[in-house]
Amino acid sequence: MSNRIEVGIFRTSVQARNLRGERMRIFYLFSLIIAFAVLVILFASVMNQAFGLVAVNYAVDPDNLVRPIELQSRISALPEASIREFFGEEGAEAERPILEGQLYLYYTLIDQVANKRDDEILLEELALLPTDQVIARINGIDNVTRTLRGADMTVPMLTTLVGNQALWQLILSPNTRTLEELTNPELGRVIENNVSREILQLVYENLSPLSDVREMNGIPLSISIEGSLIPDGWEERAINDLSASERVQLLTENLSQEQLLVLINERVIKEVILQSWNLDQSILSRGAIEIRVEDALQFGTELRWRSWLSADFITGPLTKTPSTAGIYPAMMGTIWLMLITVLISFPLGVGAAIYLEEYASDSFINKLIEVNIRNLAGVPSIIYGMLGLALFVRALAPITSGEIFGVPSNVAGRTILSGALTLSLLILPVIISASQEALRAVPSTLREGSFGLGATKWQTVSRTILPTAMPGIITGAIIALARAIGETAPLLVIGTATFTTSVPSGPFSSISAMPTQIFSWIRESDPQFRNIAAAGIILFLAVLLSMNAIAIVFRQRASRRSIA
Amino acid sequence: MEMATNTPNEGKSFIKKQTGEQAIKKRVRPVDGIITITLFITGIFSVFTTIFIVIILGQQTLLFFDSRAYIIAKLPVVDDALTEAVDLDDGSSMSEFSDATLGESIDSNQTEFLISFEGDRIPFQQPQFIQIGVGDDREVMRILDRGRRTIKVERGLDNTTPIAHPSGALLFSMTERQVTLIEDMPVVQSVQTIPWEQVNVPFASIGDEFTFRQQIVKINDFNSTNMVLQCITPVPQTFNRGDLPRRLAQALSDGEFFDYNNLRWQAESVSDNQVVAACVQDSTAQVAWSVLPVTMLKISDIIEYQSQDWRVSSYTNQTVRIERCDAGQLTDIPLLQGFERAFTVGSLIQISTEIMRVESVGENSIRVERCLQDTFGLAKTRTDGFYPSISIADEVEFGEFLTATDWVPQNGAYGILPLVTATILITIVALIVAVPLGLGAAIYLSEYAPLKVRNTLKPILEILAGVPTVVFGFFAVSFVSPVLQGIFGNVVQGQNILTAGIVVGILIVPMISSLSEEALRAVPRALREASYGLGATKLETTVRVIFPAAISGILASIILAASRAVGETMVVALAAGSVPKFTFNIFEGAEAMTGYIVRISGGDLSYNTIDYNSIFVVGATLFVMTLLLNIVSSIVANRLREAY
Repeated sequence: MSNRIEVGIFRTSVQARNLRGERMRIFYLFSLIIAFAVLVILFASVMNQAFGLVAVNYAVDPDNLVRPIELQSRISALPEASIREFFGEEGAEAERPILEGQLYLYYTLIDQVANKRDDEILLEELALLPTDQVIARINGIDNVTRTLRGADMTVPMLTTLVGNQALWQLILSPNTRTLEELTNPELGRVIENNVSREILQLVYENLSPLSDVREMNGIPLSISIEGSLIPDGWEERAINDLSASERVQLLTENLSQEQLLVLINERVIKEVILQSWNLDQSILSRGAIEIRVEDALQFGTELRWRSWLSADFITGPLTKTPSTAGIYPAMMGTIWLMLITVLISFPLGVGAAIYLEEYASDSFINKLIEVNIRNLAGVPSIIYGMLGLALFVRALAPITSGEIFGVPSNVAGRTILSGALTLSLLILPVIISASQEALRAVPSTLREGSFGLGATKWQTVSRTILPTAMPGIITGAIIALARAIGETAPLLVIGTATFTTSVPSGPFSSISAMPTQIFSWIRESDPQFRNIAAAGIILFLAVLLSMNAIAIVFRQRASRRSIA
Repeated sequence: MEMATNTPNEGKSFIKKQTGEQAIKKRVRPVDGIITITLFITGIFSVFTTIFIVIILGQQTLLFFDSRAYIIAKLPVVDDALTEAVDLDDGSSMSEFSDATLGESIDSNQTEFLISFEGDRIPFQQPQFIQIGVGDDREVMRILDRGRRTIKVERGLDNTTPIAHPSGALLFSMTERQVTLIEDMPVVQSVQTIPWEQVNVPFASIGDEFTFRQQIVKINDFNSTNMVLQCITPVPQTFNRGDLPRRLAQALSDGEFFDYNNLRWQAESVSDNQVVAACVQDSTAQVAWSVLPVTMLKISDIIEYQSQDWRVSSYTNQTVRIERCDAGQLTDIPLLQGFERAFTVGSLIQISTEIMRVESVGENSIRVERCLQDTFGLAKTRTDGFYPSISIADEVEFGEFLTATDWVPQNGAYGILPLVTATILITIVALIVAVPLGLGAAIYLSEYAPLKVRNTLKPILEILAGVPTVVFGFFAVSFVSPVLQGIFGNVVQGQNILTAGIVVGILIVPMISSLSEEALRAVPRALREASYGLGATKLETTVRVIFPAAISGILASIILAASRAVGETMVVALAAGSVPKFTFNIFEGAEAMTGYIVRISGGDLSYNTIDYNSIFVVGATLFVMTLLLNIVSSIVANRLREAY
């Protein structure tokens, strides 16, 4: 009887114990799942910011570019009588081209009045204002009267013109063509009207094979824009002898209409991103975003999808506006850092590992080295940055800035080389211990066999042990390198430039790197910088994770081979 | 003969043996010797790293305790009238301190008053003099005591008269004369006077006619401020009486002359409500450019002359005076010994009315860049004043360093505690997050997970460990912090300790889990089997047998993870806050040690400044903390380890 009860108690207690065990198992599993969930959320939050809707507007409305061209052709098509009518009595004496020019000038004036920054007004509304108010507005604009003076217009004339409804009709009638429908010479005029200062640069970029825009000065066009179509008789002229419209002519004769349109899109129309939304907002609250774009943002704003990670982002230069900023200089900096770091740390690390594993006796100094390496691995990376700052950037500035090698430098030791040296020191302990482990894994029979065949120590090491341990060493080195590339703190401390437009081209270039660039983007207050930071992170993670993946594959293949 | 036959044989084998030995020696000695030495050098290399770290941190720390902060006030452009240096009795000179404003006007008997200053601390130490007001209205006082925002002064000093309501200009002095006056600041500006014909902008010329106030007028003369207009065609114009000034409107009668609206008028007919008037033929009036409807060349317009940009400084009716200053010109300024440390490269200083940028700091001198773009043409230099507003804080004391709760070394507050508490709070939060998660994951992986699951999950954990910390920083700022603000509301600041702690915790989970898992797996199978044999369940085996057996490795992993959390930089720099603050509220932002180092060293840090030294002191503290944790970790690992 009592036995039975005991069995019952025993059973319930076993069940309770098992239940408890089951609960705890779920807890353990749960904690593992949380770790993975975090990983997923991490990637998701990066992705979330790298793609999404943006509200885009143009710096210049393309319609406004067409209007002057349109107007000029419209004026020239007007019958002479109606042009003279605009000017009343005074118009009878002047020649037609002068009158046309004055009419056009008048349009630009009206246009300026309408687009006066602090007090914008639509042309249609301006037309309805009484004359004296228009005049008052004109007087309120700097420089308008200067143009007036140049055009020999007096205030009374202007008064007449403002009151002339026929002229308003001429100005207000809508464009008949779009920008895409303009002819090449007309597109050239658009360029000349809007970016007159950049024409030389445009000619250089599109036509010249020379390496610098300044080289074009003073040499004949037949050389400076070799291979392009040059109008007759211009071959011997230099670019600086040409007037702006002649330079534009070079462009319009050599480029296709599509190319010109691209130029105008890039240089004149220029998209401006007014606001950006994350992926989740873009999908879940699309309606609210559309309402906001319609109600709160300026007229003509378009909503469209944008991937912040784009080819332009990867190959583009660094700029101060998030919509055009690229990561190319930082990426090149990281590549250079990686190359030099490998060159320095790999031989040193492997050498040290060989010494410790194969040569070192059990002396005090070797023990010290071992302990020291273990401790160095635990030193925070930022301390290495301070070491780099004091040692490489400051004390060894003549070497790291390349001065003693005769390289002119103005970065005072804050170079790729300093960064690479710092990172090398940082990952040296990692490479050493990884290599040590790989060497230790080489079976001692191999060693003994080699010695037995009469090989010296170095022969044994270099021909038997190293080749066997190489896969392990390389795996360790790749993982260490990935860690070095991911380090931000030491590079920040040694003073990585986060805004440099120059692309690093060697060990003595000013240092820049992807992680520090991303860091400075995260710190910016403009939320669009978060978007490009996210895009940079995706690129950066792709590089690092593929390095890690390569290392893991390498390791698994090597271990499979050694088992076989 | 035998000898003859034998000898060559013996000789031959002798030679062979010789060459064999030589070959072995050749193979062994020089090569192996060099290789051994080379390898030894690579081995010892890392020891140098440690030595360098210790030397650099130590040396800069010593320098820090030997240094004082040189406090430089921000320098707005100061009104000329205020930049009068006052020589006090003791030979010290006074400097303007224009960032400060008087909180209230003071009367002649008040001995305590409020000074508000940008930033909380009043940046000067006693004993010092301050001056309120300038010129004859000035009063110099001695500072007796200072509170956080108030100072107590002694008034009625010998050479000054107590004044009641000073203008509010506040000057403060320094205890010693700090900067030599510059003997001769070279003028770097070029000035030219060119005739109007060479100015390539449209301009008015004498004789031009235009309409002004509806009268046709002619330009008689002009200079850069005024224009002399002559009325040539009077046009009768109707004024409302009410629009005219009352004095005029009342007195006006037919034919009377009056001055109004810059011109001289003659009234033609005066009615009750209206006045018809026209300008007086050939009368002239001087009119300022600003009221004219025509805009001409303005002062400080930039014009092009000989393909360079020049700034217009003045003009007459004949000539235009233009000036330009080529950017990038440098001038060396000699200083008293040691005072170059008061300047940071890149900062702006003001000498008289010219703003310059410090280009480099040399020994007892600084080099300044003149003709900055925004002060184009402003480069007027006088030789009588130099006002970089510097004061010197007390030297750092070790006691203050350890106990004070303010950390602004640039302003003479040297208590490192706020940085340390922030770091420790972050570490504690991180451990609270990471220990249960990491250990749970480790136990699951080592005890519960089937081999296949473990082999797939472990590499994924390694990925988490391989994600660069700056990405975790992004995660903290763009995800965790907003989520926390969503949960707890506005008590959570944008940057806060909790966010940084949680994310650092996530960061160290893989470290704890992988090290602990190794420790758990190292427990011999026999223990497990014995426990099962005694009827224990899996949980009991894990918790009561395996866990205690692996406790040394687990503790070591936790301590190592703590050390990692202490040294973690990017998450902390981005998410924890950028102002050192002594607080235990984890919802608030407070700058941690690594964050401070990053903030200060980002940008152009000039050497031998208190900034430079201070980051090494913080670094040294960090180094000691992590080193202690690492040592404790290895002791724990060794002491508690059970040998199987």
